[in-house]
Amino acid sequence: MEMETNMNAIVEARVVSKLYGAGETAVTALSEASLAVRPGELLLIEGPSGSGKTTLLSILGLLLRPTSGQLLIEGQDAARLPEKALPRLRARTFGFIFQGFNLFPALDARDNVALAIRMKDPKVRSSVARAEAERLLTMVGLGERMHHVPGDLSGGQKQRVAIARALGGDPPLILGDEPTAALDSKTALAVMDLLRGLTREGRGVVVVTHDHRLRKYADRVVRVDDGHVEELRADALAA
Amino acid sequence: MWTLARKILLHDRVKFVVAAAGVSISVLLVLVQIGLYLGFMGNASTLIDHAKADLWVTASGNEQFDFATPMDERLYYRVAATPGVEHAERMLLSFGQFKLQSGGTQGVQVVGIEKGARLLRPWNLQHGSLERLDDVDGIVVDQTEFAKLQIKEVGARREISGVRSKVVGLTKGIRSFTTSPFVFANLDSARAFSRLGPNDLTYILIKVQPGADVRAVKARISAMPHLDAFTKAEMSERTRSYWSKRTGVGVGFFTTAIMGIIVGLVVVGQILYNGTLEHIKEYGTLKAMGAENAAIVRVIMYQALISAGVGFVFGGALALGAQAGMKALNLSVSLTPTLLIGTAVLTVVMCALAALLSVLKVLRLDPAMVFKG
Ligand SMILES: Nc1ncnc2c1ncn2[C@@H]1O[C@H](COP(=O)(O)OP(=O)(O)OP(=O)(O)O)[C@@H](O)[C@H]1O
Ligand SMILES: [Mg+2]
Repeated sequence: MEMETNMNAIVEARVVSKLYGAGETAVTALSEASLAVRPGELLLIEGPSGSGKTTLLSILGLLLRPTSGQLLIEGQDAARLPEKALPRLRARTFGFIFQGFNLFPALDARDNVALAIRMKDPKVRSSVARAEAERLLTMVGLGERMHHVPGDLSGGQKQRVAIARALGGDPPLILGDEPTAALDSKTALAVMDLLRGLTREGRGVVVVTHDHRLRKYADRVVRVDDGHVEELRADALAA
Repeated sequence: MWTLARKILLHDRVKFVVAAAGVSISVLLVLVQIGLYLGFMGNASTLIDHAKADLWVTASGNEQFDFATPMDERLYYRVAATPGVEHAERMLLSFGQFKLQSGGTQGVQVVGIEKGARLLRPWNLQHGSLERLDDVDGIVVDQTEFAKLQIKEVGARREISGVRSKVVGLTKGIRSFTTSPFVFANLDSARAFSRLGPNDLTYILIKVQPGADVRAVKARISAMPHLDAFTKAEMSERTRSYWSKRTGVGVGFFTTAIMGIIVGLVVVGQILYNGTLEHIKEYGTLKAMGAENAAIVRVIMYQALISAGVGFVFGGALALGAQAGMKALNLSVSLTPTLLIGTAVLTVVMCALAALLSVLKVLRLDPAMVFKG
């Protein structure tokens, strides 16, 4: 396992472990994992069910505190920051996308994105948030569907709305937990194309998946097995 | 954020309608119950509130306005001569038996006033004339008591406690709390109607001299033997609180009003909480993305406030309808500005409380849940 120190990484986990529970019933979900995500790369996290992928992603996204180890963001160890400092750091660092989209069914595409923008920064005026939402939706190819509610959109379109929402506030890193799992394969690949495109502007993208076919979009692939994280070498990928 | 809160709230129309209906029913119950209470209490002190007297003087030891023991007229002259008194008037309030056309009798509250009385006279006269009260048998009654008194118009003749009387005037809206209708008469007739002696009276109404200190005059009169004096406000309050406490009427109305609030709390709380649970993943997502608790709490609170606003408007409209309906039943629902504003505030507080469970849920929400299946 390499122990690079990456000065320009957006987020870097250093020998991070996570135990759920305590005593006899404790589960080691992650053991001494190290991983850095750099600007402009698409990183794929693979692994069997229950191996610790979501746990790793949650720790990278500051949703979960590691039991031990460091999490470097903006040059500080975010694992030691007080709870109340986390929301703002998350807001300016991450956008999240999910298997289940998690869009407000009552709000149309534009409002869903605008709401997130204003939640991240309450100082943004609603007219500004709406204009920004329209720009982002156009960017993900939904310029014609701004006023559709999630119920009137296809799965792929919903995931595009969620991606536009994740891009609100212009975070440097997008984290997705199986964002293509609920989509048919053609749509899944189109969504990956879109995520791939985001890295061209220097954004980092991390995608957890079971689907080996997504490897072709990845700059790097990391495999999690029983809590152990290991980067796959290029020759292994080709196989 | 208001727009967003509204859209989230209105998304499920049925639930929103139920929530708004819950609030409306609370508002309706609170307004009608307390309005009825205020209406009754207004009746209890209506003579006092409409009189222009600064002070009410009564025989000492009288606990209750409607059941005052009489005092002798000689006391009146001493009171009238008290320094600071500009004008004093004799008044008698007692009970008599009104003979009905059907043969039975109806208890009435006889209000005896001096000829040319200035401090207390029937108000809201609709028909007839007040001057005719000076007639030996002249009485003034209220239109709203027609059914009880079994009369229809000015000129009707009936006996009261065996003494002849004739309706010379009709008022509108002068109603007693005791359920015995008021019958206004001159002092002498009133004494006869209530079988009291020729020198009996129950109250002395006082107007103090301009610039005189009402409290000082009151103290002077109260210091006299056999007499108590009360300011208009005190007398009014004493009367209301007597009836309110003695009859338990307050407890009854307020209990119903509080049940209404509880119903509203439960219905709104349940629906808001349900909506919060339904959107828990979305709220969690906002939290994961860095939303402060306060921002999410605001979205939920706004939903509560919108429910409060819509419910208040509908409940208020229903209460106005109920007010009109009950007027036909001779019941007065007194929807005072204070009551309306108080109820509006109460509605907001109720809905905010109802949102509390949802707020706690969101505050405790662990953003890591967004990645859980
Ligand atoms: N809150 C928790 N409490 C206790 N154990 C947990 C908790 N969350 C996860 N685990 C356990 O930690 C291990 C890793 O879970 P994790 O969700 O990270 O796996 P995963 O790789 O994302 O699996 P999947 O592919 O099924 O989503 C599993 O054994 C799981 O049962
Ligand atoms: Mg998982």
